[in-house]
Amino acid sequence: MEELITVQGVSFRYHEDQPHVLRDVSLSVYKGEWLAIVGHNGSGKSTLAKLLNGLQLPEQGDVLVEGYNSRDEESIWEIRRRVGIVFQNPDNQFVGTSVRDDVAFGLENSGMARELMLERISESVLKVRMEDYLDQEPHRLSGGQKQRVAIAGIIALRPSIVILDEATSMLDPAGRKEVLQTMRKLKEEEGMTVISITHDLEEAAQADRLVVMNAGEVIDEGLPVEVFKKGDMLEQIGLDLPFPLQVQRALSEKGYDFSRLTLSQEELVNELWTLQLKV
Amino acid sequence: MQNIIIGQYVPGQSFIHKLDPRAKLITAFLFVIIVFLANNWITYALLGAFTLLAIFVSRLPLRYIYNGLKPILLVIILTFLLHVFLTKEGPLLFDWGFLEIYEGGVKQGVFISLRLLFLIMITSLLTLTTTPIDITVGIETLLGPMKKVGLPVHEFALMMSIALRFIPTLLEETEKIMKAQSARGAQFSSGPIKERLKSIVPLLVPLFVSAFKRAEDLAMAMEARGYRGGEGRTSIRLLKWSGKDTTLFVILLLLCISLLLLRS
Repeated sequence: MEELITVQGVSFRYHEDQPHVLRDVSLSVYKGEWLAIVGHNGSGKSTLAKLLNGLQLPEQGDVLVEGYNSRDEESIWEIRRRVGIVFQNPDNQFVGTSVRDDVAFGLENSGMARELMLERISESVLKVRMEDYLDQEPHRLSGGQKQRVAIAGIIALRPSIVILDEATSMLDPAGRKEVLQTMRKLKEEEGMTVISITHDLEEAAQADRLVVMNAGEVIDEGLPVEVFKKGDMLEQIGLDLPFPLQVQRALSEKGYDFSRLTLSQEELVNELWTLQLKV
Repeated sequence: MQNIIIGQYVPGQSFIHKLDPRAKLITAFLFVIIVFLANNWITYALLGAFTLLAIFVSRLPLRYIYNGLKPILLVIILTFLLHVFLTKEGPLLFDWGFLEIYEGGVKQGVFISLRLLFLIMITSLLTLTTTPIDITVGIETLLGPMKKVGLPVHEFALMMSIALRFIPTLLEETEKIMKAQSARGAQFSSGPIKERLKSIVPLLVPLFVSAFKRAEDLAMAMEARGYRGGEGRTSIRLLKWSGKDTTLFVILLLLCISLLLLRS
């Protein structure tokens, strides 16, 4: 698998007299995967996102995006074009006075000709299903719609990686579903690489791969089913296990054995009704 | 909250609405200058005809124009009265001993009031028929050449458009904070002025804190999307100079020439 981002032994702190936010972090992001980075508040996961896009530079170690090192001043703009971030607050990242203006913002920054911009804009709003709202003002949109516009603004630049930095944490359940579905569709249809930074393990359970962070360090990495086997460890660092997993763990304490880990409600239901069959 | 219109813009499809904001800005600016050319009845009549025609063509309800005039009405009346009583020119019209009114005074008063009236009408016509963002874009393009002398035209325009973008957001937030503080017993709309001013403090402090937080977030989001100043930046907003705009300029030129010929 092609490696898009390489993080090598990165340490980072905001001020010299403050403790490190990231300590010797190394990880790789591969093309076309959905990588979830989970951790409690203050685990350094959002800081990591800023390093991946060159908004912050590592104190030690290197961040390489498709071969561009974020330390080179010239490659910063190449990196920012390749890595887009959807931030947490839907309002605070909406720059334009209308949906069209906002989607255009990144394109304008790259100095694109107007005709091409219009093409890219209609193409990307179609992908996030916001084509009917082009002239809408931001205060008339819901949180989920604003986040979808943010996604459109990013994919209009045709990046290789989209980072969702707690992008669904301020949304209601409907908005959350709408944003995640949009991203999943983009990943499947366009082969987009997605890094989702979250403390919602239910969301992370849907990922291809999981990186667990705590106190600025990567403490575990692997397939969601593998990582979730270490439920105690996840609970210890302050994360809430997905509900199906909680049910399963409570039942195993009572002596029921499950053949496999259940991460979704459907899997749990299937396990539960076949449990008695096996007995 | 859903229907706030920023600025005074009244949506419409009239000739004036469809003009290029640059044409409207330049016209309003030139009008402010040529208004001073008028100095007799016929030239004032011409200016009046131009103004009334513009209002008629804009198809705006007259109350919007009146609303624009309201704050300045007192000033107009005051200047009129000052001129009537203080200018002592021409034949005497009335003489009540302590009060003398001369014909020149009345004439001056009417002229100056009309001049103010026309100015306000034309400029409010500009803001009533152009969205704030179009005005911003218009100013940015018009002042474009000033970039070479180091005037931060792009930054100014960006600042304006971000301010316009965040006005509804901050209004919504103010409402939310007001409700939160009212729930804790704060009172915003009663008591003496001093108390009322004091009660604004618990409203302003959280509002400012959050505005700064928003600014920080926005700056980061802008940077993440590759913003690096105005250089090499293109724009999605396109201003189109059409035949309408040229027509407007021809009318303006004719007005200007007739004013020059007819003024005494």
